[in-house]
Amino acid sequence: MSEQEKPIILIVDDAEINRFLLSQMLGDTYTIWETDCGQKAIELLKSNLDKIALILLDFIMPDINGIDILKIMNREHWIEDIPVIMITTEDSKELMNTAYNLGITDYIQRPFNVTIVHRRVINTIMVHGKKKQMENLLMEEISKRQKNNRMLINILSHIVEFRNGESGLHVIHIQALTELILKCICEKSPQYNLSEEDVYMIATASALHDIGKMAIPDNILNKPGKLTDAEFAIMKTHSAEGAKLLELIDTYQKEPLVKITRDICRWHHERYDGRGYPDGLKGEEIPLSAQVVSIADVYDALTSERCYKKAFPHEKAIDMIINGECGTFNPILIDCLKEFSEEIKTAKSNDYLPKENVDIKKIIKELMDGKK
Amino acid sequence: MTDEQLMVLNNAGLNTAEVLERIGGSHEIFLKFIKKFLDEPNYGLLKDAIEKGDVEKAFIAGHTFKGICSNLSLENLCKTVSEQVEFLRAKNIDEAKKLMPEITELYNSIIIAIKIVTML
Repeated sequence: MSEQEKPIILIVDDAEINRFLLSQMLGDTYTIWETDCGQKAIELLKSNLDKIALILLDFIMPDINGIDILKIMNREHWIEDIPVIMITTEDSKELMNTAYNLGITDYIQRPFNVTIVHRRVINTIMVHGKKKQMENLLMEEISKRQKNNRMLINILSHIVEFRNGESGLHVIHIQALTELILKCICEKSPQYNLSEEDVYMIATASALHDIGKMAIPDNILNKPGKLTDAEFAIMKTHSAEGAKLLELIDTYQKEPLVKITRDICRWHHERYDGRGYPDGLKGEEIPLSAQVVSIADVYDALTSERCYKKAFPHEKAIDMIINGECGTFNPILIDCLKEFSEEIKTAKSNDYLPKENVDIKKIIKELMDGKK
Repeated sequence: MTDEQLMVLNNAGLNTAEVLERIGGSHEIFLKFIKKFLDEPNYGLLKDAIEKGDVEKAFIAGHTFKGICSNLSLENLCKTVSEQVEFLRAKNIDEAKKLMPEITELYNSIIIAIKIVTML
């Protein structure tokens, strides 16, 4: 095996003689990196997360001790990617317990024996490698499926858009904006308890918000110029019609994606003060999914050219929404709009495509932690 | 290493058979290992900290020193240092101080033995 192919083991121990002994024991099979200082260990970890196969960590060191390093590895989630074996002279059960709770895989007690050190190191690296392999397989599979799902949904929504005489960019924008706003909500408003998968599903479903337009006659849907009151009343039925369309499909009623899509279809023209349609829902009666798509829809409509209007510039559109010229929205969403203003502008102007594999790693983690 | 060399080390309190077994029998590594002990700073750090009455520094150095002694199968030294570390853990500097002469004596004899062996 060449030096480059050998897995890297990072030894963190303040005593040179201890590192020497370990590297003598392991140097033939592994590339050994050493450091005597916790701070350096953290820096090495930060920039070599993909490279380091295992850490051999001493408990008690002068500056940052082993437990502190484990705490940092937990905070930064590095412990999920790099296994740690603790090396200890300590027999304190309490300390061992703390270390196990902080995610160490194993520990080796001094005085150490070359065969045991070898075995434990090999086992840990092997088991961890298998886990990573499984994760990657799962990730590939989920990513493929998600891509296919999104593709089918986007084809469907494009059909609606094309009939509407639009390019299909609207759907892409709505998805991108929905995702951005939801990400902001995740950061700012943990009370909504949105998981990574919720974000993905709502963004996917958002593409279908206007499927009810299939039920609107061509002459109204594509009428150049302003609609009469009667025509507008028919146009407004598209939200309820979209929901009805989905409710007719018996087979998938229990599917979360169908339920979210249905909510978005029906309620993406509701307003926070109850002055929207079709049901006049108020405040949090409107599902968050529909609230977000609603604000994304308004922003995209304002900043796009239509047969009856020119496109407003980004800043003007944001101002109009904030000032309530397009109806009242949830103040949290208004804050998100302000905060992510630049990102929203970029998303719109670059014809930004939503990422296909939206943090699949996080979704997998949620699955594995049993959150879903 | 010759039997003579091993005997000098054994007489100074280093269980050579045990160490050799643990490191897979390599005399070459063993020799390098004991040479490293000559430059190992933790005994000095421990002694200084004890003299200055710095319990925390003494504990960290003592703890590391204890681990090294155990890897080198310095049985008597390891035992005394372990006792001292427990006093230090309990912040009992006076009792820890009382053990320092014995630790120094044991340490000096192993240092002399290693120097002899590496010259042989």
